[in-house]
Amino acid sequence: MSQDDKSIPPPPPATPVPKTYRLSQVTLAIICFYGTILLFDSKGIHAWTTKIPVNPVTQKMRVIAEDHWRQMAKWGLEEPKYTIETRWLDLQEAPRLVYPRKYEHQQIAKQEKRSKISERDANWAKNPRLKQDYEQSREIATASQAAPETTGSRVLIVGDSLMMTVGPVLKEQLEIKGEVLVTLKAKLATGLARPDVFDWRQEIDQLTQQQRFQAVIVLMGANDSQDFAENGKILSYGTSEWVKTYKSRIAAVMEGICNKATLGVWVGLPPMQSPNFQKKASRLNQWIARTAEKYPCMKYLDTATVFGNPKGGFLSYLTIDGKSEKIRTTDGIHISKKGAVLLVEPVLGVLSLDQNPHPHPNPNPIPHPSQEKSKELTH
Amino acid sequence: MLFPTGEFGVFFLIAFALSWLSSKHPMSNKIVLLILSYIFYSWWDYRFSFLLAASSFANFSLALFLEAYQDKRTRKMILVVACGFNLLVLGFFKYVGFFQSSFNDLLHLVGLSREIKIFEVLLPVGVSFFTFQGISYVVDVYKGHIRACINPIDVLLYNSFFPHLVAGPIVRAKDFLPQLAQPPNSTQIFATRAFFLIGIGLFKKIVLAHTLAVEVVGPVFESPKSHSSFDLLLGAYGYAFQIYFDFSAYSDIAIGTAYLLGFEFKRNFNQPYRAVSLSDFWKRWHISLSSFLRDYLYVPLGGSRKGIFKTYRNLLITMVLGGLWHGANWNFVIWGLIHGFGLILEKELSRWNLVIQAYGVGKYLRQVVVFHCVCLAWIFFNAESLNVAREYLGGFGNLQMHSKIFGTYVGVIFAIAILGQMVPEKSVTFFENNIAKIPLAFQGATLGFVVVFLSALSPSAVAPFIYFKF
Repeated sequence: MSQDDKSIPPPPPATPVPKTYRLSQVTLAIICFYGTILLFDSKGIHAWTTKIPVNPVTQKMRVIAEDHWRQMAKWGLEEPKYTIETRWLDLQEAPRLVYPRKYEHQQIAKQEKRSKISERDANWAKNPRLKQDYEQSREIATASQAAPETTGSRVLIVGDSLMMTVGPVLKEQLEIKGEVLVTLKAKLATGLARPDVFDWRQEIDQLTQQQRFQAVIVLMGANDSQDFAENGKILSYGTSEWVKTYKSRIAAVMEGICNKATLGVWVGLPPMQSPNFQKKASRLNQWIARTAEKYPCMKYLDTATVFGNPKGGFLSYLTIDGKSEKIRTTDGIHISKKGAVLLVEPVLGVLSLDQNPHPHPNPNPIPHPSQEKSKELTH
Repeated sequence: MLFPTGEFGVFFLIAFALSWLSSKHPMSNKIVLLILSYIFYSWWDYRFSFLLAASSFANFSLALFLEAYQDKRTRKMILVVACGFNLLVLGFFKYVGFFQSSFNDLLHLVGLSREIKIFEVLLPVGVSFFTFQGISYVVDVYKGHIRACINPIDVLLYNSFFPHLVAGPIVRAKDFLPQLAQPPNSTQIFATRAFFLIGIGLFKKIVLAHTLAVEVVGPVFESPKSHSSFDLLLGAYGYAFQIYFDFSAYSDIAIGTAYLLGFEFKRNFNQPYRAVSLSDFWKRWHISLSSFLRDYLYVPLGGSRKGIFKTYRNLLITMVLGGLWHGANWNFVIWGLIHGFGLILEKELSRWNLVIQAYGVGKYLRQVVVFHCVCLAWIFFNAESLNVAREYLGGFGNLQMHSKIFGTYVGVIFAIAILGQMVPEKSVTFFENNIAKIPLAFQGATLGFVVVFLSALSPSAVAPFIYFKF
């Protein structure tokens, strides 16, 4: 604060007044600025148009951006950006002091990513409309880690930002307690509503093709309460057509899982703090649970019994081993690390059920083992 | 709407065009900027803009009352009401959740396992910043630094001007309102400085802050127990630089954007980690907040004018409240206490002439000590809870020197971070002056290349700025 320490050197003299310009000069400079981006980052612009909410204007923007990208790719103007990207990956992959197993996996994942990028880039230059877009292959703080070669049981964990906190805990605990090898793939701001941003169905198909998994665990849907386009038509959230399409997407993912894995576990969305969001999450959970009933290999795990109060409502804190622990993050949506630990036993429970397969193709939601225990509730 | 996004790119282009097209008519220019600012703010949640407007109107009316009364006592009373109103708004939105959860914790302690939920309050983005600006406006009117605005649009725009709205810098009314009195000067735009600041800001946020967050800070603070002492040290240094890059990046882009629209904000950071004392640190770190706390809290409490004991008390109060401004959390209180006691210790050492002079080796020694004190405080600031902070500090005792984190990539980032703090200020001016020799159109194109370059390095989603949550 207001100090008069004489040992401090006097403040530097006031900065000289910077050079000034006329509006016409600045306008020209701004045009050059945007022009450079339009020329050299058409791929980035296209990627951005796929991420913004869907409406007729943004749909049109996307088409224009796609044509523009194709043109720029033809002229080779995307090359400088591509070169920078690959050099940057080189630097990120530079050796660390120590390589514990965990970090070796990251290295493997990065190498895989690099080869995927090269392959995709070769493809997009020929045809930018390819859904295997390079942009989509870029991870958003993802925890994608390849499991090492082994003959043990394998589990694939996939999901959105909810899985980004839950996934690493599940992976660690399942590997220790369940003695399985886990591959985790979580991606921020994704779900089933916007396959144009990230296509989970395709991603799960690819992952399960590369590797044989005994089980696939899914947690996603928190970002899906939004409009989307289907066959060029914009479907508004909540309309019957939207619900029908969304359910078909859930079914498609489940079918893909059942074709490749022995067991699929779809973890329902936890109770949400916002009443509006909670309504949406409940509806979504219902659709997932009902669709899961149609697939013998799929099991739906109801998380309201894990994270909710006796009525299934939102809880921030839960008493675990006599200690009040914060099980949800402050946004009232995501699950904290302490909360993620609570999912381990229920998930293990479901996975072990598979070792004694159910003869009935109509599984009910799996109750949480701790459901019988009395819960002491705090906020 | 975050700065480094396509949405903001489009928004700024429209704002630039409309703002300068309307610049010949001051009133229409203000209305255009006001509408744009409210669109910018509503991008998060349109409901927040009602609060922003209500807060601005209340401050506008209270300042008019202040101006209308000459009686000292009445004026003081109106000032108290105005400050109380702003603090109430801030307190309600920021702390009600904390009080609810504390109350529920208390119920739990006495064996009542009920969850009481009176309100569900969403924290409006930037509420801390616009309430402080509201206080700045009425205090400046009270002190006679400025006249109360007759036109509410001036106050509405001052509070909501989009470059500084959500994460500062906190712009003083006496600095901003006179700029509204005349139309922006279209022949004197600080474009080179604007481009320079925007380019540097984007680099700090997208490359430096993001890399430190993902590669260093996140893993270490998530599980301090599983990291060596060396990694814990790197984590603490990493967070010190991450929060600096993140926050100063926002300020740089905000100042640069304002320059391009013909407005001027004061700088908010000045190489804070080269500070030779904590008091020097606070003259370099988040300057707009520290000077606000100094002028509107420390000095009114009596500052250093009422004896040594009261000076120390005032320092502690100021720093603890500064900590609580970030959020209702014991970690922030401890962060404030570390700074408060650090400042007191400095005063004591200075009183007993035990201070090492800040030149030669002594200067570097002091910089190292101050940096580590600041890092210690940052551990509490960033830790999820006091337990995590305790685990973190306890981890230093294991004296392990291996690292899961350090490598060429992280090393390069740290080298840039340290270099950025150590280069003489003159070199930045020298660099800027040399850029100014290039034709402006080329400067614009170069900034475009910088954005393409950063887009190649960036993750596909940019995390929000740390200070958004404050």
